[in-house]
Amino acid sequence: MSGSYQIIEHDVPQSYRDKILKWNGWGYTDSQFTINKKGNVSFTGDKYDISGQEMPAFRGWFENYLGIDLNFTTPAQKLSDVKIDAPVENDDILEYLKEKNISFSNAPRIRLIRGHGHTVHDMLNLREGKIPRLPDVVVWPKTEKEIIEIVEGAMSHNCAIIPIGGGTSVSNALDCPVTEQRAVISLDMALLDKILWIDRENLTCRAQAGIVGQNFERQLNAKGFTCGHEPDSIEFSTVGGWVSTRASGMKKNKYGNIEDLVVHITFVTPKGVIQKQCQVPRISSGPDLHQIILGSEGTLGVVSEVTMKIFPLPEVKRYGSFVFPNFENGVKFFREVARQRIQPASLRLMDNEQFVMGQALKIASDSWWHSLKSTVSKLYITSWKGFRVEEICAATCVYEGSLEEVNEHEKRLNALAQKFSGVVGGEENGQYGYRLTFAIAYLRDLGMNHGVLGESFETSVPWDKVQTLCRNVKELMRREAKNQGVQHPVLASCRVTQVYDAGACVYFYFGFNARGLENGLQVYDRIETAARDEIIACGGSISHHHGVGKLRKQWMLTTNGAVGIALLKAIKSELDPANVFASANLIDIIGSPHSKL
Amino acid sequence: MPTTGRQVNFPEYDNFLDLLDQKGGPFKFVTEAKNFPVGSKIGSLPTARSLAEIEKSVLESSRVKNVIAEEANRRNVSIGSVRKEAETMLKEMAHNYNLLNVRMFGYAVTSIMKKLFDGIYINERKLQEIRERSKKDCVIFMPSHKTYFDFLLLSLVCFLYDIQLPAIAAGMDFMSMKFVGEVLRRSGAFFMRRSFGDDQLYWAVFSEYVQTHVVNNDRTIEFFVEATRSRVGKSLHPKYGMLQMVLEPYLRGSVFDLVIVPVSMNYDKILEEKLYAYELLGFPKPKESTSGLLKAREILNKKNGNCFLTFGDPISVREYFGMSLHRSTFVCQPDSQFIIDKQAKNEIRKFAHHVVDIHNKNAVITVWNIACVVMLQILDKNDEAVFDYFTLYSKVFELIQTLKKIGTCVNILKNLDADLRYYIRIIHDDLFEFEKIDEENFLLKFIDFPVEHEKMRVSRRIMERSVSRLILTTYSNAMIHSIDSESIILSLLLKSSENQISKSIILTKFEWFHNIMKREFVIIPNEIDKLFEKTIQILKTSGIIMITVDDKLEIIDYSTTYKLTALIWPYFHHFQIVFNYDWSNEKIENINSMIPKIQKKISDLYNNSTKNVRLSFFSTEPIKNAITAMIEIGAIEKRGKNDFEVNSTKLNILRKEFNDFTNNINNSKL
Repeated sequence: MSGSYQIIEHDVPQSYRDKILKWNGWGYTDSQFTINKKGNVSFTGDKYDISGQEMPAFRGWFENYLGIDLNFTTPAQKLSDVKIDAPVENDDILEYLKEKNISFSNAPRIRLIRGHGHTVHDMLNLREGKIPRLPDVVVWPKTEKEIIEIVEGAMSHNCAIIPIGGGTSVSNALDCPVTEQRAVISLDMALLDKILWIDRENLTCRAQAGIVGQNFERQLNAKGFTCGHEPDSIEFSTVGGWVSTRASGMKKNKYGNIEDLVVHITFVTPKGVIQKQCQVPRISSGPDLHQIILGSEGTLGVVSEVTMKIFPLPEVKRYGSFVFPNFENGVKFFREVARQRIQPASLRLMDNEQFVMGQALKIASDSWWHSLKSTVSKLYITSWKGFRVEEICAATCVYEGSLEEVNEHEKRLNALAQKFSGVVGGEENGQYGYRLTFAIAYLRDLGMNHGVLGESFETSVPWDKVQTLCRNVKELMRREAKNQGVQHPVLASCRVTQVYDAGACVYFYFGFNARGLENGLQVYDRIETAARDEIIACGGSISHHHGVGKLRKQWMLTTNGAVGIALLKAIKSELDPANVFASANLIDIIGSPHSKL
Repeated sequence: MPTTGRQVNFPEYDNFLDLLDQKGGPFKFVTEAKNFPVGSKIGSLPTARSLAEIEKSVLESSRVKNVIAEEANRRNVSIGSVRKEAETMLKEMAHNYNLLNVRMFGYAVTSIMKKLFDGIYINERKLQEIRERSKKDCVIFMPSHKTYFDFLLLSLVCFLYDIQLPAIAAGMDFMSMKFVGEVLRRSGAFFMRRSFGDDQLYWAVFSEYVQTHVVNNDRTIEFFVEATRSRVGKSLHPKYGMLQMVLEPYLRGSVFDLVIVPVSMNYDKILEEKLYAYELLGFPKPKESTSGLLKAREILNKKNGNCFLTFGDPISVREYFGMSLHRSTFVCQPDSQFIIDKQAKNEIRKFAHHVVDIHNKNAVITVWNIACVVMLQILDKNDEAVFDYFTLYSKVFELIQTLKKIGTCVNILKNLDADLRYYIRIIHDDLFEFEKIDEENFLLKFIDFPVEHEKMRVSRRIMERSVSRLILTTYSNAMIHSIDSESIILSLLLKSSENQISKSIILTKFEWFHNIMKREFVIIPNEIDKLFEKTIQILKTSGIIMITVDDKLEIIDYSTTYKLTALIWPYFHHFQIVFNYDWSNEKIENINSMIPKIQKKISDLYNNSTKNVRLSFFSTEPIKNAITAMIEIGAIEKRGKNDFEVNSTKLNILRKEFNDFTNNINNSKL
């Protein structure tokens, strides 16, 4: 890597982000899917259950379902070959930071790692050495006071700020607007990673916003608690990030989404700090200001501390699974679960494509008995129950509670599933389904090594439109891919990941082999845009929990209406008239350099 | 230049009857193994639903269940009894499709077809495409409608090309036909009441029944956008209800896409031609009955020429509506309570007109159609004329040449002479009395058809003479779509006292006249500017007019102009008579009550040898259209049920425009 400019830094901390995470892919440096010597797909490292394991069936799936030729590779550029432009010069702010004894650096690698999220664009750009506009200096506040000082410094020295938590954004929220002329400060919250207190009486906990999900949960677990919030990104995302993106956790049925879990937020804005005088379970004091902060995506300020509910660790946590003859029955089952309000902590439905992929990702069986068992159960389902392999679907769930509660819950759900021709698939398969979630994120990097572009995106939708939306969006992705000249079969798959009283959250996975296309990324963009249009036309939303960022801005107006957008703009101009928090997420602001108006 | 009309040639068109022979005749044809694509819904494997399953899906749908509950509540009866009612409705409307019956019925139909027709021409390549499309999306046939044979033929063609036989939306009147009703039902027709306005339950059951077919793609679907058979040989103003019902699942997102296939069905001889003529004269429509159909057996012993089925390009509804119909505006409504807003309704209506436009563009115009135009013109000069074949031939030849200039293609089967003789001597010989029959240049004269009694004080003799004129008009009408806009523009230019007239003035007038005549010449609403531009370009390219640098229009080919404008004048004269009728003393109760009075007026005018009055003007259809136009423009105002009043200011404006127009075209520059 080369950056031909003078590096200026001060008291640079040793950060996990710079040490054990990949610079151009998902997750830990040591963990990835590879093709081993036998020509099979295996997973490296030691951090996951599947680490060191082989998935003998997966290569076949990869080749058949995506049309991959493993001999054809599209390797990523080496970090040493990457060229980084000099930062925008602003010596005043560096002087200021030094004066205040705030840690900072403008070293190329440090800037590079904080200049992107995890969209397919971000990854492809890094792999191809196309480096976007990067933040010009990274700062690490150690206290809330330092955050305030940084914001003040940015205002008096004409800088912009983009806060960064875990960096797992999939909405281009972390990208610096290309038109930004000012020096951009990346406000890295990594050092604000402590639990301040745990209140056993009220079951709340106050933490600094930079604490990473898995550390937060581990520390709470050690004291007998759980935070109950478990997004798929929990290994890397932070409490502050959850708040500012309106995150949703896998077990929201039992514990609630982030907006239900938050009791108090401290929020630093250019106009000062927003916080409430009390920490109460509910308050009627006009519109809830928390709702302005939740989902503000770094456009108004930065979350510094959060008080959240905590819960005693459940006595029992058990996985479960069901197999349904088709997606329709699965959705009907989910709808009935919601109607009866008997949701387990988590409940997910995979479509046939994902079911097939999941089967292919199973690790090599260590005993003949193991493989025999699955053959027998397969026979039972296909021959005895008459399920068709091309239509079969699976649901997985997590029960949490006392042993009695869990047993009772499991019984009810099993009985209900049978009404929809569901077959109970056992705990092992359920657990496997959830493990897969963490693995899937790594899978894209393997695909990218062989010319595959892929992404996941999500939406929320009322019950009566779940099936039509899933079907139409998948069909659109297939047809549009064909129209755009994709020559190989595409992966268009979905799952229902959350169950609400009035609807569900649906997750789409889309991937295709871009080999032979002149501009695969452009093709990808067109299809994703068309897919989102279709989602909205079918009654779905702009996003359930990934947020808007810059990627989905074009649907904000239809989503919220002109008056709604004007209100958001008014809030922005009141809290941040100079547009210091210049990530340009959510909406375009008139008069700002990145405004299209 | 864009062309109207089709030339029927191999290999684009294939003759079904030849194929039938190749297959070894009707029996072999109906018994051969079939491979219909099984109805498939995207996202699930192809599954053939049983009739009981279809029925169940209707009764179990949330819409029908909701309405049943509401009705029970409203009428204060049990849900069970309303449900029973719904079941009865469903039984009444539902088809009872069964392939074995189709084969049996198909045998009879095929044998009859073979006997009736000399050729059944189909542009078959489109059908292969349609078959492929039907595997993914529900295909909806929207044929033009001129005869009962339309749906028999279409089903036969689907059978031939292994396309799922359509579920046909048929009128209730067919159902009451003994035997035939049942046969239709078993070959996949379902029956709808002609009007069910406020009956919420019927509405729910019927739309759910139609839509379950659309959503599950069990079968293809067929309905007639003109709703009823056109008795006048040209397209009727479209109806929108059924189209809206069929499109709704797309708007709701219940299907990914729908494929609409406009089908133009043209006949050398419409089997109902005489019935239509009587009906248009005002003799009551004979009830659809099997015995009525059997009486038609005498028809079966006659040659009826050819029919032509032209399948248009399949239209993807998704592509067609693109962003003009935002499905996202409907998504705040629950599925079970779906309402289409006004803007969307307008778009759907426009689409209906678009389909009719395609019917016309793809219609086969035959030599017979042209001959009828010519013969009516001959009769204009002398209504008892005896004319010779050569005269007819040369005039037909001349008109075909004129039409060619503006891109209208007249289908020639063999050659003009052979075609003309074929139509006159074999297919339509029942209209003529021939003299010197053995000579090459024989003489022709029209015969009178008996009518039972005088009607509305119009003498029986005139009535009898007019039958053949109405038949001729039905056939001459079949080509009018190819020149209507051209002729209106040219007439407007002729009428003007100046040689050069600005385009914008002509456009305004063009729009006004087209709007008055919109039931005669179907146009696409809100696209009249486009139509105008297109027509101007045709006239310019064909060297009939020129466009000056300051955007003025000027006729340069007067000879062609006269020929083309003459074709449209009868339509305007007809309307003019209705407008000029002395409305001041009338107590108008409804449109139909006025028709005999206007017919009487026409008879008087005819007896006084008034210029430009044809016997075919007795036809009730254009009279009705003219009165409707008066109502739409406000010359007649509807004040209540059975109470209309003339607005003399508006009527006078209308009269003035029309009188100026027609007087000038009669006198100017001629």
